[in-house]
Amino acid sequence: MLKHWINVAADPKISFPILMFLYFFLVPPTNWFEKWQKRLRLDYIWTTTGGWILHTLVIGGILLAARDQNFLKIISKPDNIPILILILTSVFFLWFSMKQARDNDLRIEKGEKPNEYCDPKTRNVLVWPDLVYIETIAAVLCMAALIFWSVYLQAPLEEPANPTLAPNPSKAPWYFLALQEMLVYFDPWLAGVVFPTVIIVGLMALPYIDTDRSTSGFYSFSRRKLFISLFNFGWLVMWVYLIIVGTFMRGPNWNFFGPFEPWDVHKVVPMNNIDLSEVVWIKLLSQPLPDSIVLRESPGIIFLVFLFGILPGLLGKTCLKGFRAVMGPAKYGTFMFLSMMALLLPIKMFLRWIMSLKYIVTIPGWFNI
Amino acid sequence: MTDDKQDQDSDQRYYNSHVLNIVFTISSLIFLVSILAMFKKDYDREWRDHQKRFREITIEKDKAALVEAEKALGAQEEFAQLSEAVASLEDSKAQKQGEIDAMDEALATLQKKHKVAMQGMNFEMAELSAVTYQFEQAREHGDAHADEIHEKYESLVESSNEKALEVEVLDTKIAAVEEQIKQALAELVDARRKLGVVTADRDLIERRLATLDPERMDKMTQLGDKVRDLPILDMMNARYNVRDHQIIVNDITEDMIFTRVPRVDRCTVCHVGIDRAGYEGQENPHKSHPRLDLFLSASSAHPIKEFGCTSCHAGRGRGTSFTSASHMPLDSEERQQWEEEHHWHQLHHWDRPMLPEKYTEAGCYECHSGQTEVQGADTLNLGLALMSRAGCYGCHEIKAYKNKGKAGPSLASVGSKVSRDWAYRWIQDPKSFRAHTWMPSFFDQSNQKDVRDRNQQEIHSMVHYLFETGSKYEGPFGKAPKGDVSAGADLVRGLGCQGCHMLEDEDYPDTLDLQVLRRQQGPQLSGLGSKTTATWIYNWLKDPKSYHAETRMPNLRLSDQEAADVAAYLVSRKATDFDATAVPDVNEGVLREVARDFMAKNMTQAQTDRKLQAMSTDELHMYAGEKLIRRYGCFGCHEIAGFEDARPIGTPLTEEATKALLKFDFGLQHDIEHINYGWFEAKLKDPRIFDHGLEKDPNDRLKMPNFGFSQQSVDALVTALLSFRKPDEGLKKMVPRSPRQLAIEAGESLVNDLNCRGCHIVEDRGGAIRDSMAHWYSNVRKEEVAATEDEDDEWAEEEDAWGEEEEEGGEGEGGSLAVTYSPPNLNGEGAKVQPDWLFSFLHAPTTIRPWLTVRMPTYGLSDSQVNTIVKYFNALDDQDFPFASPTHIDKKSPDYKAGMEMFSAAVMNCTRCHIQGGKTPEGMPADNWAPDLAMAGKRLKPEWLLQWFEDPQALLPGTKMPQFWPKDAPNSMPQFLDGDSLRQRSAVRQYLFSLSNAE
Repeated sequence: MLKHWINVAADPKISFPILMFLYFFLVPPTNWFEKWQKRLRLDYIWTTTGGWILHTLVIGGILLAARDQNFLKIISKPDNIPILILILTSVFFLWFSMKQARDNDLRIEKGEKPNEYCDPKTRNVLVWPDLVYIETIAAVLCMAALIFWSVYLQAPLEEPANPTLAPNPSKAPWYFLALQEMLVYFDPWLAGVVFPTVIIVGLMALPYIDTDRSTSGFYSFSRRKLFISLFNFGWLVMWVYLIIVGTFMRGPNWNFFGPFEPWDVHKVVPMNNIDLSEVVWIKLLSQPLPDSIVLRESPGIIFLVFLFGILPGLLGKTCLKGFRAVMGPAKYGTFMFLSMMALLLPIKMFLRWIMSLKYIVTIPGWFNI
Repeated sequence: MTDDKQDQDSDQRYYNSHVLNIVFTISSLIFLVSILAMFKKDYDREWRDHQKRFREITIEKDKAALVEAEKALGAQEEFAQLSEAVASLEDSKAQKQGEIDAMDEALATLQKKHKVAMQGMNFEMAELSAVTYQFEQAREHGDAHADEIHEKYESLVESSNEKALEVEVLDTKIAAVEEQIKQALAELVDARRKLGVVTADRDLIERRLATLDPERMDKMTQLGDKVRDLPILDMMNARYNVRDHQIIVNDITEDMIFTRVPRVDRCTVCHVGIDRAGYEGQENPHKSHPRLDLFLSASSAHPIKEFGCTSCHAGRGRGTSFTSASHMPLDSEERQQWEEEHHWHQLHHWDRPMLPEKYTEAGCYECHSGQTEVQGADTLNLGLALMSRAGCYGCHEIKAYKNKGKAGPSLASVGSKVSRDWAYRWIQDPKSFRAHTWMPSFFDQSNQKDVRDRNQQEIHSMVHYLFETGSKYEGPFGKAPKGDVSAGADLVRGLGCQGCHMLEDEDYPDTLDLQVLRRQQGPQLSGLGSKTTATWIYNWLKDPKSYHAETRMPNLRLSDQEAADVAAYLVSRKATDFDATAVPDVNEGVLREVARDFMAKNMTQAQTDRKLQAMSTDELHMYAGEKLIRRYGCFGCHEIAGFEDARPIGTPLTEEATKALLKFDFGLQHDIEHINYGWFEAKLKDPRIFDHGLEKDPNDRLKMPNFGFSQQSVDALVTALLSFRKPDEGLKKMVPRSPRQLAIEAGESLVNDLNCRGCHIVEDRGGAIRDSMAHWYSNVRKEEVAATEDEDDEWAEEEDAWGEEEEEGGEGEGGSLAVTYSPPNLNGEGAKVQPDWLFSFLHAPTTIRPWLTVRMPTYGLSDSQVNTIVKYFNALDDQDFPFASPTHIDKKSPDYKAGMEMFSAAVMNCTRCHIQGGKTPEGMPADNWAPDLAMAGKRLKPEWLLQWFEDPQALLPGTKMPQFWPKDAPNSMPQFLDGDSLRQRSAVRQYLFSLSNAE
């Protein structure tokens, strides 16, 4: 029964909104949701005991779930071990960095120096033995881990590739599964070319957008909550989450399967996607589609213009007023463009799930988005 | 860095070095463990244990063999004598030991000197070669030092000659001493050699054991062997390895997508003894191959070095563990056992898994695909024959059966043959009419439980269509005259109908083989009274082709009365239970539904309604009947008017075994092995199984009919299916496509189609009718046989005197009766008869053996078919030049006269058994008659006759022809032609051939 509900809840339609919602509570308290976090005692996570409880819950949950044969089969596939490691390390490092940020935030509130503060007059870090020694230890442990891994888990080799026979499901390497998941929602030129390019360009642009020196050198959440939140959103929700979905929950025919659901090749799912123009004109206005392409696609165009043209300006005048003033128009504009591009994906995904949206704007042969 | 310094620095350190040291120690230990784990994993190979165990087995086996060999030697007098001789010579050698030692010492000294001299000579020679080169170069380039070098060269030539002379002198001295020693020991060496010949077998085993058995090694070797046998260290033991055991077959290649590489089979890494005799009783993997006569051994048709293992068995040849070799279990029980014992799991990504034992023969077909039968592959042959008999190729395109006629009878004029009610009952449940019929059941199957009403109307429509279309058959021979039932019963049994037809349900044995299938070439002859009329049978028997031009039923040239008798007997056989089955009424409402579903496929609902409204019941029947026959594919096996050009409805099976697994729809069946043969087996047992649990419209459901195959048949069919592979271009072991092979393959295929082996033995196979003939003669015609027995006795005695033997495999009296009264054995027919005679005989058979009741039918073959058969027989007997000039006959020659005399009653008395010019032998029971000699000249090959006279048993084992010219005995008729056997035989032949020429 519980498994059934987890299967149902794992559907991105449900799990994605939950994650979006939870996301804001899963960072250290700031003036955003501080009251609620304190009331729910969520700030307890950022203590050592809280960390133990968090990790026990995550690992225990996975072990408990692994009692299900089907789930065990998926997570113990040699291909999927890196993803399991990814999940555990993501949780740990998110917690670890945020704990340090939280500690520093509290210290700064009390007027103390951050933990990382190091007075060059009293303390030194020597290359030898301090740095080289721990690097050696890390290298030895990594080597041992890799040897154990390669000895006890055989490389998942398959038959020689056969051009006439595509495996079902055909999956990209695990680290590209988020890209593959995007292909479900966008045309290849967008999901395969534009988005990856924007991701890379965006990562390259980060140091030029965030030029505030006052927070460098130590962890702090309250002083750079927008940047950290955005990065974590991109990394955890749009990359790690999509990799998990792509690996564990995409089965034959790229159908969605809950973690405890057997992968049946014959599962049938209705797929009747419609364009935004059809939603507006036919469903809402009960009219035939206008002949003029511009008129027909006007809802989508208006939406895009709003998203990229009006919304940044609006935000700059209201809740991000201070931020905009600090950044200046060029940096703010670039930042907002990247943010809106990042937003486009969850918006489209969400629309697909709730109303089977195919395209926001579709001009056949030219442009589909 | 020393500890002191570390302590001094510690206050400047960011990390606590003590803690770091501990962490480093632990990390290093973990690292060490990981390295050890790597060693263990690499070392842990099951093949090493198998090879060690095989060594033990071989030692045990050789030890036992050695004891046997010693025992055998002990019993041999020669061995005792020779060993005594050796012993005494050893003694005498011991007496003059001092002398021999002195000689040995002298030899040793000389050899040492020789070595020194040899070295000196070699050094001088090397120097000389170098100086020679220097001198040549210096002279060529006009070097000032040329003369100087020349001097050096001269002196070197001289000194090297001296050294060579020294060596020569020593060589001579050594040879002399060696000769002395040899002289002294000559006797002993010779005695030992003789003893060695006697003990060769034992010595061989001893030598082998000396290298294998630690007990027989000297202390140092034994120690070395033990050390190299220790765990881990045995990695270095040359005795246990993969390299020396693997088989690389260069001309069989594997596809690696961009290249082809030679096939490497490492099966023998564990199956060490597979190609050696003597390990038959061992457990796997140490067993010998069960058929070393056919496979693996160097003298067999498939030597291991040329074929490897996986070219037949499939599997992953490079695998060196139980799992990685892609072994496949027989059934779920074995699967479970393997999972426990070997941690086995299926290699899903190897697309040629090993064939489970019961399907192994599928591997033969890849190279033997041209053949109708593969010698020794009984399961495969049965499967292929079943496919042909069941008519699988009617719906499924299969290349091997491309030119075969339809499996069932023509339905073009079925209305003139059976009644509508019979047709309804038959389609509804064919097995209730004849339990063993090949007509499969289309209805009342596992996916039709909810559509029974509908199916009833479907059958009505199909019957209606069949009866309304097609032509009317008006038998050209008119109404059958009144026939005699008991005479008919005798005819059916005596004429040889049972070569192709079964009569009673009891005739069907529990297990199938090709012989049983041959007797099912035609339908079982039961219940015909319920099925058709005497007149139809009469006309059919008189000329089957008048009803169905393509029929395989031959014409037996029956007289009107014979045909009428047979017809009367056959219609007397009725299936009363079947006749009593109720036939449901036509239900127009359901019928409309059936028709509507077909119409709805390409019409709107309104159109459908309009069209249905306008249709009468008959029209509905015709419309639905046509669609249904198309849907069920009846035309795959039957000729049906209107479906002459229809394409087969089933999946092509020519390359079925290489079809990707994901193309098999397992539906909701999860208990079936997820591999192609699991699917095949389930499908053949219940063709509709993959519909279970699915919601489908009646017209979308699976429609393969149920043949009711037994487990044995299913296994055979699956074997055949697994043999239908996409040709592998890397497998270059096809049976050579020589003209001879092609002629044989074409002939075999035709012989199979015509079911010649139902009556005749061809290539040592067939003669299916023999048992029933023997049964009939020994039971039904007992009285007639008994009546002639008195006369028989006398002859029997004489026959014994000729040392004649009855054919093997006969069952006492029945067996000999079978041989006597069955159609002739056609082994060696190509060498025996003249091709032009065979050609005309096959076109229009004549009586050769008038004492037989069985009759060679007329098949109405085309010239090309007859030629195929003639070529086939000649190819079988290597008759590359089948035609021969007529034998010269000179009635005035002494040879001719001698031949005539030998032929006469006074000497060989040939006509005592042989018919001559239609005159049957007097006073001889028909059991012992032999073919008409007047035919010999036209019929028999002259060369064959000479061999036949010399040794009839060699050509036709079991024949009653006496042997007049035994090869190794003195001539029994020295009075003729100087007792020259060849001349005598030629003379008799000349006389024989003149008999036929006279006619």
